[in-house]
Amino acid sequence: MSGGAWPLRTYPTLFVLAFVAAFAPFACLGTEPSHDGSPRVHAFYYLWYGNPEVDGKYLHWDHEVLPHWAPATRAKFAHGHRHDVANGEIHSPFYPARGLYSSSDPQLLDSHMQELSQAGVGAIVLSWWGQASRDGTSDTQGVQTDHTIAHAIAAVERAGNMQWAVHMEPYPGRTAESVREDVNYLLHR
Amino acid sequence: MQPARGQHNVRCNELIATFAFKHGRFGNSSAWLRINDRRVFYVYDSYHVAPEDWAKVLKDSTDEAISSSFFVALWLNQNGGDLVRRTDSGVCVVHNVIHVIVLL
Repeated sequence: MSGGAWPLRTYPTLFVLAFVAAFAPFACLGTEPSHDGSPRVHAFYYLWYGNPEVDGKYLHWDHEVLPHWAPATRAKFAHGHRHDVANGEIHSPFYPARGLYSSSDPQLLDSHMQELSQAGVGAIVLSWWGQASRDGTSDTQGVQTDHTIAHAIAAVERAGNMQWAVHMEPYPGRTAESVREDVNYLLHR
Repeated sequence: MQPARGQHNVRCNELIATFAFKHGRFGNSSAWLRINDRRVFYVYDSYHVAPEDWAKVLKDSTDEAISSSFFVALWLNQNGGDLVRRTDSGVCVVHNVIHVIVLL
């Protein structure tokens, strides 16, 4: 290995990752005083929820039921219909403690960041689907993470004891050169 | 700014460099996670791009944004490590890259 360029040796435990669903209540937490998050624990945070109060409509909570990837399983279950939010049926295995929130709501973001910090998370990795100017960077619900990420970054900054990073998602047509453009875009934004 | 005669192009290039490298609000965020003083990017599904293509971009020391960033690749399958190593020591040495997420 040349140049010592193998940071796993330098940071043997850095990549202990916590995958935390944005909506999962930390019911298992005790009431002990919290401490600052560890930089070794990174949580992946998605920015795609919306509600009528903030966004004018539900986003993702009423996502259609997706087909299973395995044909045999797919054939057994209906799919394609939207979740019936009005009857408490949402596109999530859990019902969020804070209700059907918006990922663009600063107060909601602050309370998530507080919980994440209390859980020992040191870095929030923000799902980002590319520059809004590119085709195909909105998801099927019309969510444009290039816009919502600014709210999340501000919330991490307000929390004061965590850091953030970008989770670069594979938008259509992504190449190494387009990632170069994206990195420049984000640094200069 | 009034450049001295013959200095014009030098001045222009300095100014272009100054503005081109001026970071915005995101780039100036002290809360952006850094490793080895580089801003961290996780790259999901990075194996869809050839290691040689990654290497060409990520070894570009003339790109200030790239050379001040730290990229974390996705190691998903058994051979993913081979791919990462090929990126590291294949076509060229990639000094500011590339390491590994183990998906839980």
